[in-house]
Amino acid sequence: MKLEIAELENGIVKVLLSGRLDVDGALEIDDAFRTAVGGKKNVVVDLADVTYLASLGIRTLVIGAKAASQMGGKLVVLAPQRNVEKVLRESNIDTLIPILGDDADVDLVFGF
Amino acid sequence: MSTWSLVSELSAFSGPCAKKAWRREFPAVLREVGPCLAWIEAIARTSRLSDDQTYAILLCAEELVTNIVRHNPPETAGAAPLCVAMSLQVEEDRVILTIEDNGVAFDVVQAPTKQIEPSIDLLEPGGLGVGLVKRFASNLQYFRTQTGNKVVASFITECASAPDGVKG
Repeated sequence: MKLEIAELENGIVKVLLSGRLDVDGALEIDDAFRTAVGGKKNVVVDLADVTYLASLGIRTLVIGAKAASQMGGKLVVLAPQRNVEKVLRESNIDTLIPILGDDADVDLVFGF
Repeated sequence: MSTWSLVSELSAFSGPCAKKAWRREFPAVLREVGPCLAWIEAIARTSRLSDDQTYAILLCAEELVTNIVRHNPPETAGAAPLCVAMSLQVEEDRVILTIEDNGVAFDVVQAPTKQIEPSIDLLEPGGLGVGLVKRFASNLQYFRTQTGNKVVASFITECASAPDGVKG
């Protein structure tokens, strides 16, 4: 599981994840993810290269989303693969963590 | 140490719909989840299961095994080590995942599905695994056995083409 960070315009932080967000993947990036989103208001997590997501991965996203909310902002996810998106929707977590289709929606969702 | 075996190979049909069963036993610890998923993926490739069906099986296996590990108290002196026996049976129209463990009673079918709070600030992280198993398995059964728990999850196979002689 790999994690990269990019700073977008308007102070938006983009966290790019790649690999499998299973038990091992979630444990692997947990600390780095918390550090990446800690203190950040607007976070977009790019899931385009995440091939697998299970509940522990959702837990990681929820922790990040709560941290962003405490800063007065939000965390959204971007471009999940088909089955990853299905997991997000079937768990209903997409009601609290919005799913964006592409980069064009990022500024819009954060009000820029 | 994990052990596995091809329990039976019943070639009732030629091609990817042959009936086969595999079984694996392993200690119920989190570090065994990764190898368990790799085992399922290898079987899925051999059996030419679809990506969607493979994903559903992997997801349910991970959630069920993780639950076993997380919801059993540490071993006490004299108690049997916590173990999992997993079998995967590929049939003509479905795949059946059976998971048995010798842990405390836990009926995944009756267990409540976590509800998502109206606000992220109110939501406690975690607890979504049971709900995902119920959504991704076509059918789910639970049995309390003499030694522990037995969960049987089935996954319907969506055929890519109609049988010979039948026009679409």
